Amino acid sequence: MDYPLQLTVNGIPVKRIVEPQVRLLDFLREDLGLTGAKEGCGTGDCGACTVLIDGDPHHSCLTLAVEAEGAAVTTVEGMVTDDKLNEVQSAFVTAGATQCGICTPGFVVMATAYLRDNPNPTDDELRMGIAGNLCRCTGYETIVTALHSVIDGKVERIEVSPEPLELVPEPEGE
Amino acid sequence: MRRFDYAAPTQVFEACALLADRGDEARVLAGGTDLIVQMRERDRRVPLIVSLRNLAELKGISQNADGSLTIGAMTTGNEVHHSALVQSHAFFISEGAELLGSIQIRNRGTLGGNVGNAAPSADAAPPLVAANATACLVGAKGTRDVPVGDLMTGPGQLALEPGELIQSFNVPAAPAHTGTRYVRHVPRREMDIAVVGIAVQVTLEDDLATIKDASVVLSAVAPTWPHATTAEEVLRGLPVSEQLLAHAGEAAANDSQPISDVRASAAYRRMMVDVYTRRALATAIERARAAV
Repeated sequence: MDYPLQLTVNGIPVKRIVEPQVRLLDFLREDLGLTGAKEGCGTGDCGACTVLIDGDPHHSCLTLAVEAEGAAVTTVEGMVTDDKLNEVQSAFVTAGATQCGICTPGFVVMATAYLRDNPNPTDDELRMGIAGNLCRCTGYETIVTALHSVIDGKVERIEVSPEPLELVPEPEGE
Repeated sequence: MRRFDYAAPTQVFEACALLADRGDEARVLAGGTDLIVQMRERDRRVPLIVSLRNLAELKGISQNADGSLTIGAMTTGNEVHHSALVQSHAFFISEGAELLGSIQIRNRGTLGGNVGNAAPSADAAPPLVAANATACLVGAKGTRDVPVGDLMTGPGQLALEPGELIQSFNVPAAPAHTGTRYVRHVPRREMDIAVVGIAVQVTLEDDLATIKDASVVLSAVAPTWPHATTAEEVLRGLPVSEQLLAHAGEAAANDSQPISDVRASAAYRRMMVDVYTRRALATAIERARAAV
């Protein structure tokens, strides 16, 4: 049996039919074409698949798509507003806090939520806050430097001209 | 992941009926932080997943007229950790919940799931045992209360009847001058599984110098979450001293039944039970003295 699923993704209402074993991660990447969230470990250890569900960071690899029924999901693609990167994204660019880039979307989503809830963490608290995100290049220092620049209010949001965010259209059903 | 059927009932009785009807074919889904991983890594065939996400009775934290606290089984790790009610009622339950994985894990993983997964190394369950909490189980015949300490019968094993599920936990109000502590030993600071975990609840006499009652519960060093009963006996009725805590630590080490595995040897675990029991007791006593 397949299941009807209704949710919003980056503010866009989505209505699809899904199989129950499909993870939210696969649904976002394959059904909607939003490839920002990455699969690192697939077991909830690395945080590369982090997305916001109703504002809170979750592993999309441990969440069944059907469990996101009625939810507001935000992916890293949804963090660009008014043609500007958000503060965390901008800080990553300025600090060069990316090496291979696989972990970056997860870090950006996690840090955006963490700094929203904890605007003035100590260095220790900040590091614990992002402890669920692993960088396989071990590039933590630049990531932490970037996040401190956000905490210190030194970040100017960077203008971008993104392609309009479009989801893969719903397949034609019979 | 293999295909399965999925149900997300909105009534507890519907969930229980599905579980009773399908028996071993059905699995309960709380946060999924253990179940989804197991289903993928072990290629486990699960014909039916019964999601608890729509059951309002399983959510939330509230204080009862008798002073006890009710925590719904579907309350997430972060909700338990950040709850002011939990922190003032039994601080170590908040402390244990804080150690469940990362923030992302704590947004999905639930208190009922941590107990229900029945891992000997659980972090959120041992404080419930030490606080003498009961689990309210609901099934076709109604509800019954079972001490959380009696719920786990072995690794991955719970004393649940077919069709029963954990609805909530009831944590009794602690007497005056009570302090608690949950502490675990891990090689790294985050995102690891306990080598040793110690949950302690200490109640002092009015003199704030004599131990009236003590509850010491072990994690990751036995097949379940047992009380270190000899250590508890050692402590009761005696004045607090460094020597007393040392005796209790030794007794707790003897009470533990650790195994050797990839994380640590049994001998090392036993020594760490000694060290961490002493440390946990010292903090709990400090907190008992500071409590109004």
